[in-house]
Amino acid sequence: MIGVLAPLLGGQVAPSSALAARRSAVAGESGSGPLEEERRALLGNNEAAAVAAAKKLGTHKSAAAEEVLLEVLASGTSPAVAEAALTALGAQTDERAWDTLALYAGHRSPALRRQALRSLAQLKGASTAPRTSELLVMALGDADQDVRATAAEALAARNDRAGLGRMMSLLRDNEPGVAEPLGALVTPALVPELAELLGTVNEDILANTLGAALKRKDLAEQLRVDLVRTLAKISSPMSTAALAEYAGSATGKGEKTEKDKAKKEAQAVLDQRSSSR
Amino acid sequence: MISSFVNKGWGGVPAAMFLGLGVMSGCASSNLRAGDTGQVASALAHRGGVEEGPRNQQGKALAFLELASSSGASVMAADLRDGHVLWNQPGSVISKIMVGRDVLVHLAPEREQGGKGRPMLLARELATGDVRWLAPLASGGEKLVGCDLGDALVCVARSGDELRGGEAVVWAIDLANGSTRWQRTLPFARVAGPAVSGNLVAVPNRSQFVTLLDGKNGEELAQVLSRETAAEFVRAERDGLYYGHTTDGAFSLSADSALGTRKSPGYLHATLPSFVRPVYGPDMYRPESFSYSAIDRNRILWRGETGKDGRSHFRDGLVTVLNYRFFFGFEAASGELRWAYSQPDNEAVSAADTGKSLVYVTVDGELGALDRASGKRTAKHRLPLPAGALVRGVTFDAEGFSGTDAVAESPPLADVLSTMLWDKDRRFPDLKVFVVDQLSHLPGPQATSELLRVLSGADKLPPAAVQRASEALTTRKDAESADLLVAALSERADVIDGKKRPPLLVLAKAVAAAGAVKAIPALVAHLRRPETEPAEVVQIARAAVTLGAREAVPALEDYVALYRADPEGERFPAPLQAASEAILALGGPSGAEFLRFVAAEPKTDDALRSHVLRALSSEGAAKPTPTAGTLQSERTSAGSP
Repeated sequence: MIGVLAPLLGGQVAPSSALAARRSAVAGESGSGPLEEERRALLGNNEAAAVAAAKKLGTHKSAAAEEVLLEVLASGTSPAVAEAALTALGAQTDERAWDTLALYAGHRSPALRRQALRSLAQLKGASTAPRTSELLVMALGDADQDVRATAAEALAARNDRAGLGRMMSLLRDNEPGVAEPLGALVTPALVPELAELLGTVNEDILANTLGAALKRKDLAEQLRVDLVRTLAKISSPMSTAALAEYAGSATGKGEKTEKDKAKKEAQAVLDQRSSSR
Repeated sequence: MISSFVNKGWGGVPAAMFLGLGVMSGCASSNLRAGDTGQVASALAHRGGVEEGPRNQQGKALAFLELASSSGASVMAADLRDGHVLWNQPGSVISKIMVGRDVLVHLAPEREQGGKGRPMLLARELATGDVRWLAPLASGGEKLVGCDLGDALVCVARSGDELRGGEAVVWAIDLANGSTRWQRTLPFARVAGPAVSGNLVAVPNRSQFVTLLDGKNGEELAQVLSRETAAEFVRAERDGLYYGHTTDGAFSLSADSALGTRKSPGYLHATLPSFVRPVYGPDMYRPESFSYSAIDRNRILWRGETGKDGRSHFRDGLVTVLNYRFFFGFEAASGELRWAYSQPDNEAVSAADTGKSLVYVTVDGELGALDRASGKRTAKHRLPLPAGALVRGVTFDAEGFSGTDAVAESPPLADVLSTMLWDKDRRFPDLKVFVVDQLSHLPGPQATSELLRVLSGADKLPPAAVQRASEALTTRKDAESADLLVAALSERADVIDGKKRPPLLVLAKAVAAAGAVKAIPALVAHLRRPETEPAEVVQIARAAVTLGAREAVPALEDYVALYRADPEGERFPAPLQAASEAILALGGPSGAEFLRFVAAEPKTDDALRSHVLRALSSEGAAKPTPTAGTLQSERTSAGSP
């Protein structure tokens, strides 16, 4: 595998030949391990049984179960079984899965790419984190809209701001899937930029982004006020829903010192909208 | 009848212009035989000696410019040697400027001279630009076709139906005072503008004829017959007269070409690339050819000479081309590019071949010269045009001028072609295709880089140019291009950046043709990308095999593993089959073992399984699947990662 991923990841070299080794294992081993039944089912021709075996292995949370799943994925299988195996791997936490997941992140099936990205996002460990981040950021530019949305969600789940600029670009192109992840990741410096998008992007998508940002606990009260005021300028139901959700949410510690100014403004907007109906 | 319009006031100088004292008048004689070599030879003897160098009596290489600006039109004279402006006189020009020994003549609108708006002949002192005389032209339905100035000033006009009868008049004008020296009527209206060479006047007529007149009295001396092509222009050069078809070559006028065919020893025709507008001369039947036009900016420039074999040749075997801002030198016989020159920013309004150099003036007043043999610049001056003025047209009197500067170092041909290729002006798609073809013939990474840029599609070149670049790259054996190919292959599709995926079909072939083993990792990385098309996978596998690139095997195995059980494989079996063949060819024992595993696996697509088994069988590699231990040891011994 050395070299194959180098251009893919801008110079990073994948560190293992794990895939080839796992294929060897699949080709040669005779069954005697504790998970041999699931392994045989996964490698067998009964697709339903293989999918069930993958799900079962996913609940094991053991290195042995992970290894079986990786072997099956590395040696290749049908898309349905691969998706089940990738999903099952997501519950594992071992960085050994990285090569295999990265391979499937480039699969021509968007469903498999999405699942591989989700599982990659769940991997923990410092050694693969930069590569995972880079791969997710790259996936924001995928040809498939759902894959792009999954990549954005994965970055948000990891609280990874490496793709913030690209997510802003997607928002400018009215990409719905990026709205909430972007709101979850947006930095204070970018809040004014979000407000400036009013009138240039789809209002529902922008309202979703602003609403997600309002849920953040780490924004200063004045920024929250700015977000509310921008939402107030959007007349769509999505804006009202975002304001209502915010106004009804529990008050955080930091907000109390500012006397809930943003929430009061949100409520005022809601009252005004209510009375004008 | 031509006599009737003469009597109505031809020239507006009543009677004196045509019928005054000393004016000779006559009709076309009928005792001439078209294509008679003896008569043509005799006529050519009337031409007399022609001096070397510029025609003007100062002997300076000069340019005469028609200028236009919001504040008014003017005529400017400039010295080519230093760009010094000799004079700039107000007044409009509505024809080409004709230059004599001490005078220049052009048409001017009568309105500027207080008249009613008809064109008038206006003669200026060459030394000062002052008006020497002004002579009105036809007053009725007669139409001036053109004039030329040699030892005499001769004009041609026609009346009546050009295709059915009508009449024409040829007349000579005294340069001292504008009066008519002689006139001659021709019994047909199908006439073209004249050329004057010494004492000989040539007038194309009735499409295929050129009538030769004595410049002193208008007597008809001979008739040339162009048998295979229309004679649409005549041209006077220092070495003689030429006639020819606008786009189908020229004849050096001699007894041998009195009856012109393409086999005549005087026939000149160049091989030129398709982007060149092969204008050997203007269609002088069209009166508008007597004015400056776009034809002056897009045409070939040529000079003739007689070789030792007695045949006419293009001088130095060279034909040059002006294409607005670009100049080219071509081998006339083969069309091979000898040199190219790109004029920055503004196009040349006009250019001329002085026999030693190409002289030109741009629309914004740059006056320059190029060595005709090499295309290197030999002169460059900025003319001090009046504010806002633009050059509309130029006539050069610069025979033999070779420039003034030491021959400047010119940029490499690849640089010049690159400039042309990426020029933002999109009016000339054929030129871009030509430039791509020329670049493909140049060795080295610079040309490869340009071809790859064409292929990237970023600059929106014509599809034909992209196609030519693709064809060139797939056969280009540029061993130094590996890094360029790696860079091209490192691109990937991205909806945010708007990037398209690289053209892998071409790049894979290019990698193979160039022997760029270094580019294999970047190439096979595309096997792991969702957007890579089946046909591209096939080419990638073939390129790896061509180069014997064993480092491609892991990526090929990944590909086969990933899709061997994918139902999509049934629709596109070729990529999996090609990848399998490549693994077998490159992967050694461990590769064969991987394929045996693929063939044995129950989920593997049946068509792929059959193909793999056949391939293994033909290689004698079909044997039972080994245990994990033996497979791993084979991998290690084969050097697989």
